[in-house]
Amino acid sequence: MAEVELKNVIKSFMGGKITALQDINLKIPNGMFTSILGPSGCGKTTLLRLVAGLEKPDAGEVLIRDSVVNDVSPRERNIAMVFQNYALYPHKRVFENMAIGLRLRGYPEHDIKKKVVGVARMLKIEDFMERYPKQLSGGQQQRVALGRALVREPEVFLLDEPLSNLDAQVREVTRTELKRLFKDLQATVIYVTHDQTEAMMMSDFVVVMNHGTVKQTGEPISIYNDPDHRFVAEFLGTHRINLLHGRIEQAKFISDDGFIVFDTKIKTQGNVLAGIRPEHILLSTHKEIPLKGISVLIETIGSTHLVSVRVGENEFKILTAETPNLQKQIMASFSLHDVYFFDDQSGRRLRPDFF
Amino acid sequence: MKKILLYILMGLVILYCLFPFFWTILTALKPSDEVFSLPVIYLPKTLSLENSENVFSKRPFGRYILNSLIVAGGATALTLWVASLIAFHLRSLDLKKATRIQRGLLIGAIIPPALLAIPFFVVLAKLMLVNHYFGLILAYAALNLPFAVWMLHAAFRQLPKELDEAALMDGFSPMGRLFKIFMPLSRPTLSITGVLVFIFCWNEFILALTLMPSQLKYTVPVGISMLSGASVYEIPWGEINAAVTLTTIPVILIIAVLQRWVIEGLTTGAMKG
Amino acid sequence: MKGGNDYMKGEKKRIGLIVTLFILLCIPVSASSKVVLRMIGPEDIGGAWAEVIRIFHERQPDIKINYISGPWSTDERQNMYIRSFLSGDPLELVYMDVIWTANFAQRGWLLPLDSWFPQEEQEKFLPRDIEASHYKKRIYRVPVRSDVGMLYYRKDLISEPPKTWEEFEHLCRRSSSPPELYGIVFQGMQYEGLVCNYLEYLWGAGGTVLDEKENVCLETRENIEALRFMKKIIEEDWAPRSVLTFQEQHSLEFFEKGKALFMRNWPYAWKRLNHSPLKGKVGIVPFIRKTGQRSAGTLGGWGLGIGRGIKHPEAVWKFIEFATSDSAQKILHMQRGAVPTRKSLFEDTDIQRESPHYKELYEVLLGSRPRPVHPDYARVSAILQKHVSAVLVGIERPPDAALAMDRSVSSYIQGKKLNWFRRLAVDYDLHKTVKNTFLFTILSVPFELFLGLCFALILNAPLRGRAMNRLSVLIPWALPTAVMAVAWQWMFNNPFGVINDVLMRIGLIQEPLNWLSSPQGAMFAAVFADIWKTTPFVTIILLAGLQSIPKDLTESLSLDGAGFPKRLLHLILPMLIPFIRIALIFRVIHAAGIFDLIWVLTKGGPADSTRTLSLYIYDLAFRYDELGYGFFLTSLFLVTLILTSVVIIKTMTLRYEKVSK
Repeated sequence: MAEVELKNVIKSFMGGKITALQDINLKIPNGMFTSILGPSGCGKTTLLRLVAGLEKPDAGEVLIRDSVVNDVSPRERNIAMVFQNYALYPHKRVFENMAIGLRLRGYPEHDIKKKVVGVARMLKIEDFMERYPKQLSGGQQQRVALGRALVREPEVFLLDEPLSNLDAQVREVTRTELKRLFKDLQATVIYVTHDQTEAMMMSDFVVVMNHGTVKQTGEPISIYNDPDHRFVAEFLGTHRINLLHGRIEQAKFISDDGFIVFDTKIKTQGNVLAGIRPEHILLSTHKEIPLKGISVLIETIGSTHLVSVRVGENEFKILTAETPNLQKQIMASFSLHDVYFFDDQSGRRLRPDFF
Repeated sequence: MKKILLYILMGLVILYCLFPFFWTILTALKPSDEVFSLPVIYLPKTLSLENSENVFSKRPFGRYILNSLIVAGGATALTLWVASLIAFHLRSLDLKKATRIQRGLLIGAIIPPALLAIPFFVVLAKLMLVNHYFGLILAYAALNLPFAVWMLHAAFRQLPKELDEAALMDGFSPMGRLFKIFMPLSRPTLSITGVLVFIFCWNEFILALTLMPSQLKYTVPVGISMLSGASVYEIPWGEINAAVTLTTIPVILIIAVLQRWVIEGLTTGAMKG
Repeated sequence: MKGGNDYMKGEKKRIGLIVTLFILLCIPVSASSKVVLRMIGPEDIGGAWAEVIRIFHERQPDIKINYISGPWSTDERQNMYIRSFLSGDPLELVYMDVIWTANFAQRGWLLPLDSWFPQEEQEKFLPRDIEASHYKKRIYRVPVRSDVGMLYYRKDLISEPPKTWEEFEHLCRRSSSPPELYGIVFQGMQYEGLVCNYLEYLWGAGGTVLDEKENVCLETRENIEALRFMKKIIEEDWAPRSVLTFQEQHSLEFFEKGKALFMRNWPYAWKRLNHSPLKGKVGIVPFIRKTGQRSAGTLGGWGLGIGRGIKHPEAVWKFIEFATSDSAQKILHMQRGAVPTRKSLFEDTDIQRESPHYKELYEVLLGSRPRPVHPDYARVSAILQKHVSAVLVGIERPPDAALAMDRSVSSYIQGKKLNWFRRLAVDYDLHKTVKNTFLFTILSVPFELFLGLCFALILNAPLRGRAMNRLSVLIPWALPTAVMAVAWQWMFNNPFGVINDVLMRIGLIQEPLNWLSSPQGAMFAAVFADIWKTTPFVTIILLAGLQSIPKDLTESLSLDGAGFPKRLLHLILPMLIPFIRIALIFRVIHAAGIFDLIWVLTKGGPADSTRTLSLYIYDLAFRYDELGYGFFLTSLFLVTLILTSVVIIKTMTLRYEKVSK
């Protein structure tokens, strides 16, 4: 298992017209399950392909186990990749699909057999070994693709949205299995996804990307609780964060419509965004900052509800277990330490201890 | 009513297309006194294979067939091989650039072969390859290359990029990717391209006439046209018709078996410009 | 991607290896140490050459003679020799017609034979044949058989053979009764033989082609008279119209069936006639002439020479010496009817017993004349052929023809001195062939498109048996053009062709048409065959187009109440435009570049009426040895074709197509 590192990596396409990655510096820790999370077009797949060696960086260095691999061909990098559409060889049986990598590396036949059978048993696909990929379901194909990577016992696993082609139920099961599998292997895994739930649930380490730059790295929970950037706050979380336009004057937050005013510990002056997650607003007055408004929409999600409350010119979403009535006055509150302030222009997080 | 009319029209189309061929077969099967009889005898009164036998015994027709097979077979193999190398390379370029290169190739492909006879002859004479199988094979390969590249490139492009990349990561060499991944997966296109190229070469006339001038190197079309010499009486029409029949039947069989593919190949091939 | 490049590098070695292997495989491995000498001759009927070669092999076991039996057409065999010289692998033994000598010698393809064949040896041969074997005072061939044009007549029907045109005319008027019995048959097809015939009339009228200073003298009263008389023979039905497609063999077969009083032919016919029902009923005399002029038969004949640049000239000479010896010539005479070239053989008792008429023949031979000795004779002859043929088929009046011949020959001889661009303006053949090419394209392409569209519409109808139908439409496309041209030649044959027969049965025509021997007929036949051959291509393209039209569009239009004609006009045709455009470009380019169909079907004749630009260019390159000029014309032609396609694309692009881009 090995650590992967990118130093000042720049990559553009179409002769510089499209910039995919701008000056990436990133360390992917050894033996961890790392997700690269971001919306489509953010450069996460390009990053993965750079590590794989399928693309060459315009500038900067890619390191695997502390050695620069810019000029090392994919086949010599000792990595394995699972593609979104699995990329199984349609003209080869499952066994051959899994064995081919070993065969091309000159392993003796009985070794190949042992390894393939072992992995197949682990993935519970040993009954399909004589089938062609076409004869398998999506989930089975996905396992074969995974098996093909596992058999090789590479230093780094690269997974490019491997679950996105599966239907919801299978996806959930597979998610759990994958997590368990790689946990047991203690493998270095780079997992590209646009699904924040997947990233949160599976990873030990998350890299959030947008517009070709890394916005934040860290453990899932710390990124969730302590976003460095408005984008991270917005992108993570099952329910979209409430964002409130306003300004800070003498450590006092005043919303644009003037309805919401409360004290902060922020010394900076100027326009800001205040972010409060729906689950941090209570339908009671227990917290220090009150919120008074009218419920305008109620969306029910199983046992909980997402209530839209109009306060002045703003609308807040509140997650609650109670069942409020529509068009009723609502009294709610939240606490100051659950509020994130972001600079209105750059989107960067404003922190209280910043003086 | 409308249907019946359509069926009649369809029948006429078939008759029009097949009549010359049927007439050739009928003539080939007649003994020579029936061939030259007035009024014209339509169905042979006695079937005779005399003409077909004569074609082989009196003339080096077997040799012509062998020549044609060598040339058309060799050219087909060479074309497919070179075309898949080029198509493989084109695939690795981005689509726009590849299309531009391909367009360039295709302009060459619509030049009538009659206009290429002189340049080919001059070049091959310099290389001392006139009258060699290889000279004609080279010329045919050059002639058919744009078409073959076009077909194979289209087929290669259809394969998902990830498949190629997966092969790359699995450790296939470039050659291995071409021969173990691309070619097997494009087998239908490869075979139809092969068949079409073979037919083109089998049928080609002017280059064969120019580049293989010695009689023992005639291909079938040249051989047959030389049988005719001039016109009317001295010409062994029965034998000529037998020779025509013998040459055309294999082509027709191939076409019959591969009809649908041939049509597809032809139309994609023609729509390329 | 980088991979491709690495791969190419590694590949180069392998490609090189395979190429080398290929070349090695293609080079014929000669297993024996024997010297192999190749020669091309006509099919060896009677096996005379085989016999000569057999005896030679017995005497010289180390030398192997490979007699390649070529086509009957002399022109074709000449082309085969020329191509062998040009290709750098010359045939060792050059078995050549008397008229090739000057050209081959001038271009340095022949070894002079003076050292092997001294003056005193030459004197043992017929003087005219020796004279015609020289070029610029050196001798390049040894005559092996002589030939002279002469008149065969039916002794049993005619008491006194004609000497002059007038006597001939008189006899034809009195004794012929076409179509059972014609006056004369000769060689009227557009080829070298026609010139031999024509020259006998020209000389018989006192005319000539080139004078001593090589000035062209064809715009003369004598020439017009000669042409008029030849035309009269056809017009008055003294000769059957089919002589316009006759070569020697056809005339002989016609005469042999007793269907003509006279025949102009070479001496070889005598032997065959004496093994036919006409045995003893045929006599020979010198060819007819105008009153007051001298009769002259065209000197023909074949000789053997040595190709330059070959390995074993000595061995070749050994064979030539043997093949022209008394004994070999005797074999050729006995088995093939060849006329000997050695004077002594005319007194040989065996030969006199076999051919008692040789006394008369000897006289005819002494009075023979060689055709103009000029390095560009082939081209001069081509021009003469064309115009004589044009007169005979009635598309040119004799005075016009005489003028055109004169201009054409002199403009050619001068044109060679001009630069290529200026030559375009005077090149008579170019103008004619361009016109033909244009005509052919304009006639065939619209029909192909129209018929192709009809076929496509019919085939697209939801009927049973569509697969079978598509197969049958594919067949004309899939068959070799050159081969099917032969089939069409047979079908257009007169009188045995099926097309005449069908048309007569339907009642469209009253009597058989001369498809391939009349200018319009030949053009029609070529166009018809081309339409048959290429309509499938158009059909397939348009069928693909039809299938690309979404069904719901057709259906919604039908629901709007549009009948088939309206659907065709408003939906189908506009949607087909891109496909029609492709088909049109392909068809125009290939119709304009047509070669194989016409080359096989009509050879460009009669009277050049179907000769297209490609045929002309091909002739320039491979027959008249003007590669440079031919290449120049090719380039101009190509540019024209490309411009035409651009025009088609520009004019046939609908507005919405441009918008979508």
